[in-house]
Amino acid sequence: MAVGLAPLAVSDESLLNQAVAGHRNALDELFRRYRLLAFRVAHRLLGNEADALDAVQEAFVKALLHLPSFQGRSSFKTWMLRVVSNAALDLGRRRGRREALSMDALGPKFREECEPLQETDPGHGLQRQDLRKKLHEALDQLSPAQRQTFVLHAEAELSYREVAETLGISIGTVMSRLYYARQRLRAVLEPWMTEE
Amino acid sequence: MNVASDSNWEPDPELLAAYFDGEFEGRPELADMRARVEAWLEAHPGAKEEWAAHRKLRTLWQETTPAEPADAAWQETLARIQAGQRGSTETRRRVPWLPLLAAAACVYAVIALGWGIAQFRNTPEPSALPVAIAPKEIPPPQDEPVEVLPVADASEITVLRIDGADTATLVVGLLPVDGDLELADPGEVRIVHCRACPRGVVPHVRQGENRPMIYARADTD
Repeated sequence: MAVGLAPLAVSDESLLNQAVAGHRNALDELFRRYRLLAFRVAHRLLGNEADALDAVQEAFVKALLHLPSFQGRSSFKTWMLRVVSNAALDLGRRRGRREALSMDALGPKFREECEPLQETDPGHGLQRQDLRKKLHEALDQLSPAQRQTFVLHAEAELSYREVAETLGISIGTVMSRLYYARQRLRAVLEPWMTEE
Repeated sequence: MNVASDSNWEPDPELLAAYFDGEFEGRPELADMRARVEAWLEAHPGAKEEWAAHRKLRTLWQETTPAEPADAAWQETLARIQAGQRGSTETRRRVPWLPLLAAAACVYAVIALGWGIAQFRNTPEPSALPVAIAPKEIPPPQDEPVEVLPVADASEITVLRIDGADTATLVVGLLPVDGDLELADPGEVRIVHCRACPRGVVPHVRQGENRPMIYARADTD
Protein backbone atom coordinates (compact mmCIF):
# COMPACT_ATOMS: atom_id res chain seq x y z
CA MET A 1 0.00 0.00 0.00
CA ALA A 2 1.34 3.38 -0.93
CA VAL A 3 2.31 5.68 1.89
CA GLY A 4 1.97 9.36 1.15
CA LEU A 5 5.09 11.40 1.74
CA ALA A 6 5.35 15.10 2.36
CA PRO A 7 6.21 17.34 -0.56
CA LEU A 8 9.95 17.31 -0.93
CA ALA A 9 10.60 21.05 -0.73
CA VAL A 10 13.89 20.28 1.00
CA SER A 11 15.81 17.20 -0.06
CA ASP A 12 16.23 14.29 2.30
CA GLU A 13 20.00 14.59 2.15
CA SER A 14 19.88 18.23 3.15
CA LEU A 15 17.56 17.44 6.04
CA LEU A 16 19.79 14.58 7.12
CA ASN A 17 22.87 16.81 7.24
CA GLN A 18 20.95 19.39 9.26
CA ALA A 19 19.63 16.73 11.61
CA VAL A 20 23.12 15.38 12.24
CA ALA A 21 24.25 18.93 13.01
CA GLY A 22 21.59 19.03 15.70
CA HIS A 23 18.75 20.89 13.98
CA ARG A 24 15.71 19.47 15.64
CA ASN A 25 13.24 20.66 13.01
CA ALA A 26 15.14 18.78 10.32
CA LEU A 27 14.97 15.56 12.31
CA ASP A 28 11.27 16.11 12.92
CA GLU A 29 10.64 16.51 9.20
CA LEU A 30 12.68 13.46 8.23
CA PHE A 31 10.88 11.44 10.86
CA ARG A 32 7.50 12.69 9.65
CA ARG A 33 8.33 11.77 6.06
CA TYR A 34 9.42 8.22 6.66
CA ARG A 35 8.02 7.12 9.99
CA LEU A 36 4.92 5.40 8.63
CA LEU A 37 6.70 3.53 5.87
CA ALA A 38 9.44 2.45 8.27
CA PHE A 39 6.86 1.45 10.85
CA ARG A 40 4.87 -0.70 8.45
CA VAL A 41 7.95 -2.53 7.24
CA ALA A 42 9.07 -3.13 10.82
CA HIS A 43 5.59 -4.20 11.86
CA ARG A 44 5.42 -6.77 9.07
CA LEU A 45 8.76 -8.19 10.22
CA LEU A 46 8.00 -8.15 13.94
CA GLY A 47 4.25 -8.56 14.19
CA ASN A 48 3.43 -5.99 16.86
CA GLU A 49 3.34 -2.24 17.26
CA ALA A 50 5.59 -1.78 20.27
CA ASP A 51 8.50 -3.73 18.78
CA ALA A 52 7.99 -2.04 15.43
CA LEU A 53 8.28 1.39 17.06
CA ASP A 54 11.45 0.25 18.80
CA ALA A 55 12.89 -0.80 15.45
CA VAL A 56 11.96 2.56 13.93
CA GLN A 57 13.69 4.33 16.79
CA GLU A 58 16.83 2.21 16.42
CA ALA A 59 16.85 2.75 12.68
CA PHE A 60 16.61 6.53 12.89
CA VAL A 61 19.32 6.74 15.53
CA LYS A 62 21.57 4.47 13.46
CA ALA A 63 20.86 6.46 10.33
CA LEU A 64 21.91 9.66 12.05
CA LEU A 65 25.02 8.08 13.53
CA HIS A 66 26.18 6.32 10.40
CA LEU A 67 25.65 9.07 7.90
CA PRO A 68 29.10 8.50 6.31
CA SER A 69 28.04 5.01 5.22
CA PHE A 70 25.14 6.53 3.31
CA GLN A 71 27.23 8.76 1.02
CA GLY A 72 24.31 9.34 -1.31
CA ARG A 73 24.87 6.09 -3.21
CA SER A 74 21.16 5.31 -2.94
CA SER A 75 18.11 7.32 -2.02
CA PHE A 76 17.60 8.06 1.64
CA LYS A 77 14.34 6.13 1.44
CA THR A 78 15.92 2.85 0.34
CA TRP A 79 18.82 3.34 2.74
CA MET A 80 16.43 3.95 5.61
CA LEU A 81 14.41 0.89 4.62
CA ARG A 82 17.53 -1.26 4.70
CA VAL A 83 18.47 0.08 8.12
CA VAL A 84 14.98 -0.33 9.56
CA SER A 85 14.47 -3.82 8.15
CA ASN A 86 17.85 -4.92 9.48
CA ALA A 87 17.03 -3.37 12.85
CA ALA A 88 13.70 -5.19 12.89
CA LEU A 89 15.30 -8.54 12.10
CA ASP A 90 17.93 -7.99 14.81
CA LEU A 91 15.26 -7.01 17.30
CA GLY A 92 13.22 -10.07 16.39
CA ARG A 93 16.20 -12.32 16.99
CA ARG A 94 16.96 -10.68 20.34
CA ARG A 95 13.39 -10.72 21.60
CA GLY A 96 12.17 -13.96 20.11
CA ARG A 97 13.34 -16.21 22.88
CA ARG A 98 12.33 -13.82 25.65
CA GLU A 99 8.79 -13.52 24.29
CA ALA A 100 8.50 -17.26 23.90
CA LEU A 101 9.58 -17.86 27.49
CA SER A 102 7.25 -15.23 28.87
CA MET A 103 4.23 -16.55 27.02
CA ASP A 104 5.09 -20.18 27.82
CA ALA A 105 5.01 -19.33 31.48
CA LEU A 106 1.43 -18.13 31.08
CA GLY A 107 0.19 -21.44 29.71
CA PRO A 108 -1.54 -22.39 26.46
CA LYS A 109 -5.06 -21.37 27.54
CA PHE A 110 -3.88 -17.89 28.43
CA ARG A 111 -2.05 -17.58 25.12
CA GLU A 112 -5.17 -18.51 23.18
CA GLU A 113 -7.33 -16.06 25.05
CA CYS A 114 -4.89 -13.20 25.01
CA GLU A 115 -4.28 -12.73 21.33
CA PRO A 116 -4.50 -9.04 20.45
CA LEU A 117 -8.06 -7.86 20.10
CA GLN A 118 -7.91 -4.94 17.71
CA GLU A 119 -11.10 -5.17 15.71
CA THR A 120 -14.53 -4.10 16.87
CA ASP A 121 -16.59 -5.74 14.12
CA PRO A 122 -17.08 -9.24 15.53
CA GLY A 123 -17.40 -10.97 12.17
CA HIS A 124 -15.08 -9.30 9.74
CA GLY A 125 -12.78 -8.17 12.50
CA LEU A 126 -12.08 -11.63 13.82
CA GLN A 127 -11.65 -12.96 10.30
CA ARG A 128 -9.13 -10.27 9.49
CA GLN A 129 -7.39 -10.83 12.79
CA ASP A 130 -7.10 -14.51 11.97
CA LEU A 131 -5.78 -13.62 8.52
CA ARG A 132 -3.24 -11.25 10.02
CA LYS A 133 -2.10 -13.92 12.42
CA LYS A 134 -1.78 -16.53 9.67
CA LEU A 135 0.08 -14.11 7.48
CA HIS A 136 2.53 -13.38 10.25
CA GLU A 137 2.98 -17.10 10.90
CA ALA A 138 3.67 -17.65 7.24
CA LEU A 139 6.23 -14.84 7.20
CA ASP A 140 7.86 -16.38 10.25
CA GLN A 141 8.39 -19.60 8.32
CA LEU A 142 10.50 -17.79 5.75
CA SER A 143 14.20 -17.22 6.21
CA PRO A 144 15.05 -13.70 7.38
CA ALA A 145 16.45 -12.88 3.93
CA GLN A 146 13.30 -14.04 2.17
CA ARG A 147 11.08 -12.22 4.65
CA GLN A 148 13.05 -9.01 4.31
CA THR A 149 12.99 -9.20 0.53
CA PHE A 150 9.26 -9.86 0.36
CA VAL A 151 8.33 -7.16 2.87
CA LEU A 152 10.47 -4.54 1.13
CA HIS A 153 8.74 -5.34 -2.14
CA ALA A 154 5.17 -5.87 -0.91
CA GLU A 155 4.96 -3.32 1.89
CA ALA A 156 7.42 -0.63 0.86
CA GLU A 157 6.55 -1.15 -2.81
CA LEU A 158 10.15 -1.16 -3.92
CA SER A 159 10.78 -2.40 -7.44
CA TYR A 160 12.93 -5.48 -7.98
CA ARG A 161 15.84 -3.25 -8.85
CA GLU A 162 15.40 -1.13 -5.73
CA VAL A 163 15.16 -4.21 -3.52
CA ALA A 164 18.32 -5.57 -5.13
CA GLU A 165 20.17 -2.30 -4.52
CA THR A 166 18.86 -1.99 -0.99
CA LEU A 167 19.99 -5.46 0.01
CA GLY A 168 23.06 -5.65 -2.20
CA ILE A 169 21.86 -8.71 -4.09
CA SER A 170 21.14 -9.51 -7.74
CA ILE A 171 17.73 -9.06 -9.33
CA GLY A 172 17.69 -12.81 -10.00
CA THR A 173 18.04 -13.45 -6.27
CA VAL A 174 15.20 -11.01 -5.60
CA MET A 175 13.02 -12.88 -8.09
CA SER A 176 13.69 -16.30 -6.61
CA ARG A 177 13.19 -15.08 -3.03
CA LEU A 178 9.90 -13.44 -3.94
CA TYR A 179 8.73 -16.55 -5.75
CA TYR A 180 9.51 -18.80 -2.80
CA ALA A 181 7.90 -16.37 -0.35
CA ARG A 182 4.71 -16.18 -2.41
CA GLN A 183 4.48 -19.95 -2.68
CA ARG A 184 4.80 -20.23 1.08
CA LEU A 185 2.24 -17.51 1.76
CA ARG A 186 -0.24 -18.93 -0.69
CA ALA A 187 0.03 -22.37 0.89
CA VAL A 188 -0.59 -21.04 4.40
CA LEU A 189 -3.36 -18.68 3.30
CA GLU A 190 -5.07 -21.26 1.12
CA PRO A 191 -8.50 -20.87 2.83
CA TRP A 192 -8.47 -17.16 2.01
CA MET A 193 -7.07 -17.56 -1.48
CA THR A 194 -10.27 -19.10 -2.81
CA GLU A 195 -12.55 -16.41 -1.37
CA GLU A 196 -14.09 -13.88 -3.71
CA MET B 1 15.20 -15.59 -30.02
CA ASN B 2 12.08 -15.04 -32.09
CA VAL B 3 8.71 -15.22 -30.38
CA ALA B 4 6.88 -16.58 -33.39
CA SER B 5 9.41 -19.29 -34.09
CA ASP B 6 9.72 -20.54 -30.50
CA SER B 7 6.37 -22.06 -29.69
CA ASN B 8 7.84 -24.27 -26.95
CA TRP B 9 9.09 -21.35 -24.92
CA GLU B 10 7.39 -20.68 -21.62
CA PRO B 11 8.30 -18.17 -18.93
CA ASP B 12 9.78 -19.23 -15.62
CA PRO B 13 7.36 -18.69 -12.74
CA GLU B 14 9.68 -15.98 -11.42
CA LEU B 15 9.56 -14.19 -14.76
CA LEU B 16 5.80 -14.48 -14.89
CA ALA B 17 5.57 -13.00 -11.38
CA ALA B 18 7.82 -10.14 -12.48
CA TYR B 19 5.41 -9.44 -15.33
CA PHE B 20 2.45 -9.51 -12.92
CA ASP B 21 4.35 -7.13 -10.64
CA GLY B 22 4.67 -4.63 -13.48
CA GLU B 23 8.43 -4.93 -13.69
CA PHE B 24 8.38 -4.69 -17.49
CA GLU B 25 6.41 -1.46 -17.61
CA GLY B 26 8.29 1.62 -18.71
CA ARG B 27 11.34 -0.50 -19.57
CA PRO B 28 11.96 -0.29 -23.34
CA GLU B 29 14.94 -2.64 -23.03
CA LEU B 30 12.54 -5.36 -21.86
CA ALA B 31 9.94 -4.77 -24.55
CA ASP B 32 10.86 -7.95 -26.41
CA MET B 33 10.60 -10.07 -23.30
CA ARG B 34 7.32 -8.43 -22.42
CA ALA B 35 5.92 -9.28 -25.85
CA ARG B 36 6.99 -12.89 -25.42
CA VAL B 37 5.30 -13.19 -22.05
CA GLU B 38 2.12 -11.58 -23.34
CA ALA B 39 2.06 -13.89 -26.36
CA TRP B 40 2.50 -16.88 -24.09
CA LEU B 41 -0.31 -15.69 -21.80
CA GLU B 42 -2.55 -15.26 -24.82
CA ALA B 43 -1.88 -18.83 -25.85
CA HIS B 44 -2.29 -20.26 -22.35
CA PRO B 45 -5.60 -19.16 -20.79
CA GLY B 46 -4.92 -21.42 -17.81
CA ALA B 47 -2.29 -18.93 -16.68
CA LYS B 48 -5.13 -16.60 -15.72
CA GLU B 49 -5.49 -18.63 -12.53
CA GLU B 50 -1.92 -17.81 -11.66
CA TRP B 51 -2.59 -14.14 -12.31
CA ALA B 52 -5.72 -14.30 -10.15
CA ALA B 53 -3.81 -15.93 -7.28
CA HIS B 54 -1.12 -13.28 -7.57
CA ARG B 55 -3.69 -10.51 -7.30
CA LYS B 56 -5.52 -12.22 -4.46
CA LEU B 57 -2.37 -12.47 -2.38
CA ARG B 58 -1.70 -8.79 -2.99
CA THR B 59 -5.25 -7.96 -1.86
CA LEU B 60 -4.92 -10.03 1.30
CA TRP B 61 -1.62 -8.33 2.06
CA GLN B 62 -3.18 -4.89 1.70
CA GLU B 63 -6.15 -5.83 3.86
CA THR B 64 -3.81 -6.56 6.73
CA THR B 65 -1.83 -3.34 6.52
CA PRO B 66 -0.77 -2.43 10.07
CA ALA B 67 -2.76 0.41 11.57
CA GLU B 68 -0.89 3.65 12.15
CA PRO B 69 0.16 4.19 15.76
CA ALA B 70 -1.45 6.92 17.83
CA ASP B 71 0.11 10.37 17.71
CA ALA B 72 1.35 9.97 21.28
CA ALA B 73 3.30 6.87 20.25
CA TRP B 74 4.94 8.81 17.42
CA GLN B 75 5.88 11.65 19.75
CA GLU B 76 7.36 9.24 22.25
CA THR B 77 9.38 7.51 19.55
CA LEU B 78 10.68 10.83 18.23
CA ALA B 79 11.66 11.85 21.75
CA ARG B 80 13.60 8.61 22.15
CA ILE B 81 15.36 9.18 18.85
CA GLN B 82 16.36 12.68 19.97
CA ALA B 83 17.58 11.30 23.28
CA GLY B 84 19.54 8.57 21.50
CA GLN B 85 21.10 11.11 19.16
CA ARG B 86 22.08 13.39 22.05
CA GLY B 87 23.58 10.51 24.01
CA SER B 88 25.71 9.31 21.15
CA THR B 89 26.80 12.83 20.26
CA GLU B 90 28.05 13.30 23.80
CA THR B 91 29.87 10.00 23.56
CA ARG B 92 31.50 11.03 20.32
CA ARG B 93 32.54 14.36 21.79
CA ARG B 94 34.33 12.56 24.58
CA VAL B 95 36.37 10.52 22.15
CA PRO B 96 39.16 13.12 21.58
CA TRP B 97 40.02 12.89 25.29
CA LEU B 98 40.48 9.15 25.14
CA PRO B 99 44.02 9.20 23.67
CA LEU B 100 45.11 11.70 26.34
CA LEU B 101 43.62 9.55 29.06
CA ALA B 102 45.25 6.45 27.62
CA ALA B 103 48.64 8.19 27.47
CA ALA B 104 48.28 9.38 31.07
CA ALA B 105 47.34 5.87 32.16
CA CYS B 106 50.43 4.45 30.42
CA VAL B 107 52.73 6.95 32.16
CA TYR B 108 51.15 6.15 35.51
CA ALA B 109 51.50 2.42 34.88
CA VAL B 110 55.22 2.75 34.07
CA ILE B 111 55.84 4.78 37.23
CA ALA B 112 53.87 2.35 39.35
CA LEU B 113 55.70 -0.62 37.85
CA GLY B 114 59.10 0.97 38.57
CA TRP B 115 58.10 1.72 42.14
CA GLY B 116 56.81 -1.84 42.59
CA ILE B 117 60.06 -3.37 41.33
CA ALA B 118 62.06 -1.18 43.70
CA GLN B 119 59.89 -2.27 46.62
CA PHE B 120 60.23 -5.93 45.66
CA ARG B 121 64.04 -5.69 45.64
CA ASN B 122 63.98 -4.22 49.17
CA THR B 123 61.79 -7.05 50.51
CA PRO B 124 63.61 -9.80 52.51
CA GLU B 125 63.65 -13.32 51.03
CA PRO B 126 60.59 -15.35 51.94
CA SER B 127 60.97 -18.30 54.27
CA ALA B 128 61.21 -21.73 52.69
CA LEU B 129 57.92 -22.91 54.12
CA PRO B 130 54.67 -21.74 52.57
CA VAL B 131 52.00 -20.39 54.86
CA ALA B 132 49.55 -23.12 53.85
CA ILE B 133 49.38 -25.99 51.43
CA ALA B 134 46.31 -25.99 49.23
CA PRO B 135 44.83 -29.35 48.36
CA LYS B 136 45.41 -30.33 44.76
CA GLU B 137 41.86 -31.48 44.29
CA ILE B 138 38.67 -30.85 46.19
CA PRO B 139 36.50 -33.98 46.12
CA PRO B 140 32.86 -33.47 45.19
CA PRO B 141 30.34 -33.80 48.04
CA GLN B 142 28.91 -37.28 48.35
CA ASP B 143 25.20 -37.93 48.82
CA GLU B 144 24.44 -34.44 49.93
CA PRO B 145 20.79 -33.48 49.64
CA VAL B 146 19.97 -30.95 46.94
CA GLU B 147 19.14 -27.65 48.53
CA VAL B 148 16.60 -25.18 47.28
CA LEU B 149 18.31 -22.18 45.78
CA PRO B 150 16.94 -19.08 47.48
CA VAL B 151 16.51 -16.53 44.74
CA ALA B 152 14.73 -13.82 46.67
CA ASP B 153 13.99 -13.09 50.27
CA ALA B 154 10.33 -12.75 51.17
CA SER B 155 10.99 -9.29 52.57
CA GLU B 156 12.20 -8.15 49.16
CA ILE B 157 8.90 -8.80 47.44
CA THR B 158 5.65 -7.00 47.92
CA VAL B 159 2.67 -8.56 46.24
CA LEU B 160 -0.02 -5.96 46.21
CA ARG B 161 -2.91 -8.17 45.25
CA ILE B 162 -3.53 -11.70 44.03
CA ASP B 163 -6.97 -13.08 43.48
CA GLY B 164 -7.46 -16.81 43.30
CA ALA B 165 -7.98 -16.71 39.57
CA ASP B 166 -4.87 -14.62 39.08
CA THR B 167 -2.37 -17.14 40.29
CA ALA B 168 -2.19 -18.85 36.89
CA THR B 169 -1.17 -15.60 35.29
CA LEU B 170 1.48 -14.57 37.78
CA VAL B 171 4.86 -14.53 36.10
CA VAL B 172 8.04 -14.43 38.09
CA GLY B 173 11.08 -13.33 36.17
CA LEU B 174 12.36 -14.73 32.93
CA LEU B 175 12.88 -18.44 33.12
CA PRO B 176 15.21 -20.04 33.82
CA VAL B 177 16.49 -17.76 36.54
CA ASP B 178 20.25 -18.04 36.49
CA GLY B 179 21.93 -16.64 39.57
CA ASP B 180 20.53 -14.22 42.07
CA LEU B 181 17.14 -12.81 41.28
CA GLU B 182 17.63 -9.10 40.96
CA LEU B 183 14.30 -7.47 40.42
CA ALA B 184 13.76 -4.42 38.31
CA ASP B 185 13.01 -1.21 40.13
CA PRO B 186 9.66 0.41 39.39
CA GLY B 187 11.43 3.37 37.85
CA GLU B 188 13.07 1.13 35.24
CA VAL B 189 9.81 -0.31 33.99
CA ARG B 190 7.54 1.53 31.63
CA ILE B 191 4.21 0.27 30.33
CA VAL B 192 4.21 0.76 26.57
CA HIS B 193 0.69 -0.38 25.96
CA CYS B 194 -1.90 -2.75 27.36
CA ARG B 195 -3.46 -5.60 25.48
CA ALA B 196 -7.02 -6.56 26.24
CA CYS B 197 -7.97 -10.16 26.66
CA PRO B 198 -11.05 -11.82 28.12
CA ARG B 199 -9.33 -12.32 31.47
CA GLY B 200 -8.03 -8.84 31.96
CA VAL B 201 -5.33 -6.60 30.55
CA VAL B 202 -1.83 -7.75 29.75
CA PRO B 203 0.73 -4.97 30.00
CA HIS B 204 3.51 -4.78 27.44
CA VAL B 205 6.41 -3.38 29.39
CA ARG B 206 9.83 -2.11 28.50
CA GLN B 207 12.71 -2.33 30.94
CA GLY B 208 15.92 -0.36 30.99
CA GLU B 209 17.87 -3.48 31.98
CA ASN B 210 16.82 -6.96 31.09
CA ARG B 211 16.20 -7.77 34.71
CA PRO B 212 13.44 -10.06 35.84
CA MET B 213 10.33 -8.62 37.32
CA ILE B 214 7.11 -9.73 38.86
CA TYR B 215 3.87 -8.58 37.43
CA ALA B 216 0.31 -9.68 37.71
CA ARG B 217 -2.40 -8.95 35.25
CA ALA B 218 -4.54 -5.90 35.87
CA ASP B 219 -8.30 -6.09 35.94
CA THR B 220 -10.28 -4.30 33.29
CA ASP B 221 -12.75 -2.80 35.72
